[in-house]
Formats: sequence, C-alpha cells, structure tokens
Amino acid sequence: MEAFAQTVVSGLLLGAVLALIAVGLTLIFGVVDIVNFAHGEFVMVGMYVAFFSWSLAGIDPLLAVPLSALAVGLLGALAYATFVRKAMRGTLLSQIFVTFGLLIFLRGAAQALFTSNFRGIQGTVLTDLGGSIGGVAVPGPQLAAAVVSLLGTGAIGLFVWKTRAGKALMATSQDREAAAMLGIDPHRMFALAWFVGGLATGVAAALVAAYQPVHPNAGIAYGLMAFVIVALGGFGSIGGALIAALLVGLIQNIAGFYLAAEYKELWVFLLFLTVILIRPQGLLGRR
Amino acid sequence: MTGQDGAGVAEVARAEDPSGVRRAWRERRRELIPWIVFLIVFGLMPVVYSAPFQHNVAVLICTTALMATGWNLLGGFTGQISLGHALFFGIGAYTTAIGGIKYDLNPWLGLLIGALLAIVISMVIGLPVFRLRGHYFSIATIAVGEIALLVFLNWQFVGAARGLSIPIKDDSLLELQFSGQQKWEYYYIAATMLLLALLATVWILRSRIGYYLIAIREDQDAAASVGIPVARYKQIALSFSALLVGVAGGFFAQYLLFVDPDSTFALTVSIQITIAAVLGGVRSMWGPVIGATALLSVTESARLYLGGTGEALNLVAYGLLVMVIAAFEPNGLIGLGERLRNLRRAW
Repeated sequence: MEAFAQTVVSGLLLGAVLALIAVGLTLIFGVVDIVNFAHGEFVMVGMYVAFFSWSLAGIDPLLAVPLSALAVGLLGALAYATFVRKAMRGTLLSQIFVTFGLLIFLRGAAQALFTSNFRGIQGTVLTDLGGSIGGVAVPGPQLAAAVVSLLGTGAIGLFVWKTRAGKALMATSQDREAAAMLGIDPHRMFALAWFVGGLATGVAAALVAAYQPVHPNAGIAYGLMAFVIVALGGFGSIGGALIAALLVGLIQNIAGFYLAAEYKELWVFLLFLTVILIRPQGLLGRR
Repeated sequence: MTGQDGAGVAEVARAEDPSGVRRAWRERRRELIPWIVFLIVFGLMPVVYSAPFQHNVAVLICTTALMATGWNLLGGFTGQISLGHALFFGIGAYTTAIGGIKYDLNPWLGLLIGALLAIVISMVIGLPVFRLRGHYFSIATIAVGEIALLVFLNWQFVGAARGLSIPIKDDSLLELQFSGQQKWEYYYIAATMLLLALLATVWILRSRIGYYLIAIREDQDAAASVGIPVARYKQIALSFSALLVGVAGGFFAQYLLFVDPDSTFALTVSIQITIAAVLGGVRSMWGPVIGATALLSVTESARLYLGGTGEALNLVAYGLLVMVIAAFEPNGLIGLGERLRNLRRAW
C-alpha cells in the first residue's frame, strides 16, 4: 500500500511538471496551428539558463525561474519572427520541418557550446522543503516543481480566459480571419502565443534543472511526452493537456513500478496509439 | 521535376501532330539526362574518391539515398510525413543480423525476409496512423518509432542495448561479406540497389499509382470523392518505402557486421532519412539522391576533420539549413538550382 501511494505521489509530481510543458506546446499549436517539434529543446535551453545562473552567479533555481522563463519566451518569439512566420505560408512539409530544423539546431548549438557533459545543480534551498508523510517520500525540488507548475498552468488558464490579450489569443485560435476583421493583428497574436508558450516551458525547465542532470539531450524525454500529452488531451485544449499530463505521470510511475521500469514510457506510447485509434481527436479535442 | 509528367506530354504531342515527333524526342532526351548523370557520377564515385574514408562516405551516400527515395514516395509524393522510418531500418538490420547469428541464414535471404517483415509491420502500423492527418500523423509515427527503440533496448534475445555482432566469414558475394580496406564491393552493391529503387520509383510515378498518390497529397478529400481508395494507396506508398528502408537496414547490418538499437531505431536515424530528402527537394525523385550526396559529403568530411566538435557544428549547420529550406525554398537544392537558372535566363 505504501509502495502504491509512493507511485501515485511520484506520478502526480511528474504529471504536474509535464502539464505546464504541454500547456506551452498546446497553446502554440492551438493559436498558430504549428507543432513545435523543438519543444523538448526549449526545455533544455531553460535548464541551461537555470544551471548557468546557479554556477556562474549562485542564483538558486527557484529564483532563476523568471530568467529561464523570459529566455525561453524570447527564444519562441524569435523563432516565430525569423523562420516560422515564413514557413506558415508554405506546405505542411515546411510547417513540420521548420521546427524540426530548430530542434536539430538547438541540440547542436548546446553540444558545440557546452559539450555533451552532464551537469547538475547541487545544493538548492528546495532540498530542505522535502520530507516524508506516512512513509511516502516527497522530495523538495520535485514538490516545488509540481506546485509552481500547477500555479503556472492555472495562471496560463486565467490569462487565456480572463485577460483581454488572452481572449484575443483565443479569438485568433478559433477563427483568425474573423479575429483579424475585429482588429486583432494575427501576427502579433502568433508571436504572443510563441512567447507565452515559451514562458510556460521556461518556468518548468528551471525547476526541473534543480533535480535533473543538464545536457544537450536533456529535453528529449520531456518533448516526446509533451507531444503525446497534447495529442492525447486534444490539440489546443489546455484542460485536456492537464488531465492527460497527470495521466501520463501516473502511468509512467505505476506501470514502471509494477510492470517493468525500463518500459515505463512504452505504456504511455501504447495508450496514446490506442486512444487515437478510437478517438483521433484526443480526449478533449474538437474535430 | 521531369520524372512524372514528361511521358504523358510526349504521347499527346506525338498523337496530335506528326511534326511533334521531334518535340517528343526532345522531351525523352531531357528525361534521360539525369539518368546519364547519375550513372556517370555513381559509377565513377569510388574511382575518383579512392581513399577508404571516401569509399565509406560513398557507401553511406548510396544507402541514405536509397532510404530517402523510399521515404520520399510517402512523404514527398503522397504528403504523409513520417518521422519514424528508423523503425523499418531497424527491422531490416535486426532480421539480417539475427538470421545470420542464430539461424545461419544467408544474408541475401535475410535482406529479403527483413524487407518482407518491414512491409508486414508497415501494414499493422498503417491501420492506426493513417486515421490521422498532418501533424497528428507525424507525431504518431514518432511514437511508433520510440516504441520500437524501447523494445529493442530492453529485449535480451536481440542483445538489448549492447547490440549484436555478426560473425565474420570468408569474403564472398554469396555471404555479402568483404573484408578489404577499400569498399568497392559494398559500394557497387549499394549503388545497384539504389539504381533499382530509382527505376521502381519512376515506374510507380508514371503508372496510375503515381497520379493517385499526388492527388492524395494535393487534396485527400477531393481524391476520395473521385473514387480513389485513399487508405489503400497511402498503404501502398508506406509499404514501398518500408521495403526500401528495410533493405537498406539489412545491407547496413552486413556492412558494419554489427547492430545496436541506438544506431538503427533511434529518432536520429529517422531525422537523417527525412533530411536527405528535404534537403534535395521532395517534389522530384532525384531530390533524395542529390540531398543524400550533398548532406553526407559535407557532414562526413566535417566529422573527419573536426572530430566531435565537427559533429556538433554539423547539427548546427544542418539545423539552420533545414529551417532556411522550410521557410524560403521548400523544393530544396533542386528548387534553388531552378531559381538560379531562371535568374541567369532573366539576365
């Protein structure tokens, strides 16, 4: 029973972080209609920002959150302004390969600049936050990451549903021509979506860097899970992403513990393929 | 651009007007030029570039071009962009390797069985993934590829993450093993397979299948509404590409005498295949060949002269290149070439 409780807690902690990363991805897709295949690399960039803030300036990962968020947000806006905007006018192939190229570029750049060495942040204030409740261990960094990620997901939801800019964003996502006719400049909205999507991802990335090794391929697993979560939850759906992310976190940990640890991601991919076979639009997606 | 519609034009020209015979002949000749260039370049490649390192690059160019040609029938001509083709490469490689190691199977038979297995698996996969379109399809193909990688990384029978070594035998064409420093034999086998693949591709593109595939790419719903069985023809394109990539995988296992999951099933292998096609130009059957040649000539040289940094800088360079192509010249190097030619004509 204790072991089961542990897998559930670990699963929810992981799921919360995945949720914020996936919300960043689904926001970009929902508004811009392009899948950011470099999303895992956005996570990697944020992790490096947090790592170097710590190693060069002694900034704790918790305090590096705004730095990382801003850096990844600007990276997203820059990617849109330089290449993505042009590629959007092209075929499906252009739309897929523009962010695929970005993925390769960012991974190569990280490898060239920082080598493939694993780095890690030691001694954050977050370590002291942890503890155990009734035999279930709750590590501080993971707990902080989960809590901040859930707050971040909530903040994105509030932004999108309650603020003027957020409503304009959703209007563009639903019908960009109609929104444009009401005076909402679609290109500004697309840039905003990339910025906010990057912002969300950067928040999660800085927190993940507090307990995960940082290296050029550190984002791959997060990117893959984010694609699956977004497709599973329904493209463009924030609520769907949250539910799917918690589900994915739980499956990884429960199946990983009771079935086979090395296959924990396999069950996620199989669930995804099963769901799309029955519901191609995902759990909460609209066709 | 020539491979697809030249024949039809020629036929019409000949029927309409007897003096059009000359024009028809000119069309024919224009189509033949790339084939002649191909035969000369690929026939002489190992003679001109004679160092062992260069032979190795030439073999890589042929196998990559073979895979990219297969990928392009599905990705370029049918418009279904798969990012999981490493799966078929791995199936081909492992079938040949396991057959040779555990069942003393002849490698040529291994190649054949591997290719057939790749086709069968492509049919199983086609069922769920062809329900999806556009980005959704691409993500599903990544998921399928990752499942295969995870399975082979942990499957003890096939050597798990350590991989498998194929036992060395005496040099012979029958055993598909040659131990020389120079890779003549491997090169010409790979080049012959590429030539056969290109001939098959041109046959497909000129037959009704080719027109159906392009119709599906241009507008799937319109294609379905005029009675094209969309699902079946997508499956034909996928099976053909699985066949070519599977054969390439079997050949590659035999060439290295070693297989492991990270060099066969990894996403990087899928990336390599697709980028060769995209770089060259996906609207032409020659695009993948040109793309593979350009990509590997540059990246392998950089790797040789710059070492580990070279590999990282390669990624930076071709990441940028792919973004530039996607944003500015979707028809790749072929599109760029045409643009330059038009520019010169305008002068």
